Amino acid sequence: MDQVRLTAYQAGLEFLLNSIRPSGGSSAYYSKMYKPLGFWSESYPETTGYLIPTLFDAGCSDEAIRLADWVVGLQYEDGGLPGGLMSNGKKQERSIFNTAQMVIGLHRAAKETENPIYVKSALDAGLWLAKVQEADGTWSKYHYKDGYFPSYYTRVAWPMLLASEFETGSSIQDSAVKTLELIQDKKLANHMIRDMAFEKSKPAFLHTIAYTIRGFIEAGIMLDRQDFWTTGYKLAHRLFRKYELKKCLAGAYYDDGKEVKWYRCLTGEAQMCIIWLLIAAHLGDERFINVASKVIDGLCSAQPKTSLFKKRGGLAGSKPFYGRYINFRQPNWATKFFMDAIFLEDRAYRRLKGKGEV
Amino acid sequence: MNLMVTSGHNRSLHTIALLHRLINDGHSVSGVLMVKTFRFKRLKSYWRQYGMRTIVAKFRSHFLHQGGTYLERETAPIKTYNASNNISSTTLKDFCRDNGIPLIPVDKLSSDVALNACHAVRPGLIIYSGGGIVRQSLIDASEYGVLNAHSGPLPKIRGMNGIEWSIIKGMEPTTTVHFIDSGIDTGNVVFSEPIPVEDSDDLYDIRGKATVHNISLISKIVLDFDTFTPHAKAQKKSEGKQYFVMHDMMKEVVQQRLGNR
Repeated sequence: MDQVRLTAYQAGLEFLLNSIRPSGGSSAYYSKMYKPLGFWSESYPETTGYLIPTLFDAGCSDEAIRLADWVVGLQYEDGGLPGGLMSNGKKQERSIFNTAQMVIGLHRAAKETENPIYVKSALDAGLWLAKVQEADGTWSKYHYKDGYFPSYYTRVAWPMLLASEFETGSSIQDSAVKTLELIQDKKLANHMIRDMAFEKSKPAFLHTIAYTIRGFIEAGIMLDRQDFWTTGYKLAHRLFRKYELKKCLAGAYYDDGKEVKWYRCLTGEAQMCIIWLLIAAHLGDERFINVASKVIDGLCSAQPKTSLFKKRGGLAGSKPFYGRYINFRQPNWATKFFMDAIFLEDRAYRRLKGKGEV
Repeated sequence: MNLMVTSGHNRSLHTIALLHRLINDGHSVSGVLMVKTFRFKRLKSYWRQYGMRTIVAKFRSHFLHQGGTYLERETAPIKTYNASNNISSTTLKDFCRDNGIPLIPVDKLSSDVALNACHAVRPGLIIYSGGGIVRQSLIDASEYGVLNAHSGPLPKIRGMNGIEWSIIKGMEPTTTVHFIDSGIDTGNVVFSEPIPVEDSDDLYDIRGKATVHNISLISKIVLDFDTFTPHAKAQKKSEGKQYFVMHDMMKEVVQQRLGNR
């Protein structure tokens, strides 16, 4: 790995390891403004869950397993997992989206350790998601915003597919497909997808756009469904061209493609790199590695090198720091996605140099 | 044929060599449209497109005449070419003055100044030798259009760093002469030929040789324009992809593949 990347990766890892609380779980964010005492927030079950694969990739299996055990301990009897941050050590109500994100970590822990506890936990969570789903593929309860079914729930469907790997013939896969097909119907002529934002009719952060794309891309590969793949690919390609032509990505986008560009959504940029690197690996199209490297350069520059104002190694939600997405905070998931991007980029170049192909 | 030539900057050794070749071939050059270098917008666009490393290297090479950068190797073939053809001018300004060619500084190739200059002489052909985006208005300002030598095999490899991307895609580095249309390297292909390279050449050697190769191909096509152009082949959009400026990490892969030959 290139020295700049290696330094960034190690600093990111240090930040993530520091985010792990003695009581278990990883703090949602570091902020001297929001948390003037101690600086670290309460643990966040959702992102603690999807930190697990990153820690395994970084060779921190003990920490990854510790986090997986903590997530398992939070599971409700019906399989659901809690939303929000831990409040005074107590878990909150179940959440559809957050449950799915934790499945990503549980699935990886199960694959790495073959421990049946993680298999059961991931499967129970998947079955719960399928059970509480409405007939049309939506969910009516346990939302981030009541009465709004966002398109980034493709990133609920993808973890459901991961969970379905543990029980052939379960209803989970059918439920996931139902959700994906429903969201696919929201795609627009400009390849954007309606309702990608946290709130209806608001511009979607690059973060949730990337969530939406990732769900389609991963599901397209897992299910060998060209339509899902194409829906995700076209939007990813649109953003690839935008970046290459303008050398920047906006912090958020309206459905019509109009940009909110006074800030960068660093989290979303890292997620887009992951998506482009997945596309490169799938299609053998090195242009997507190339663009990811350029964006990762920008993320490396944005990563704090000291702990004077921010915490060293932790990517901020936005740049400038007061940008709309997770302002004045360094969320653990921004660093997680950043590290994943560097990891995948390194793998891509190793493949290119080793075998002569992506 | 009555020609106009574009250029990206005053110190373009490539444009000087091209002009020299065209004059020696017996063509009349009615003017050179030279896009002004030091404009904030242009520098900003360079910085975005190529990054600071390339800009610093170009500055050191062109203005401070410092060696040791990769650009030195890249410019070696064109310097050798110019020396062997007794071309002593190092600026377009000098070359045009010495050869009685009007040098027309323009903000961009589609500016009124550029278009008026073309309309005044109505060239048979405009030869593209840098200067940024070509709009339809410029294409329409000559009888046959704008001819470009692209350092990549068209239609497969369109856009930037054609040589590098050819190597990544396992193709032979090639120069393609084509007409410019409103797309990026999507105009009719007139002729293409592999760039003559040696096994010991690295990327910057090949890039340097491509510069000289494209002069010889342009010369060949313009000299025998009536023979070549009827066979110009239209491209289908789906036949190729547009490539963008290559990142240094990807260039390392290119160098490694060249080293493995």
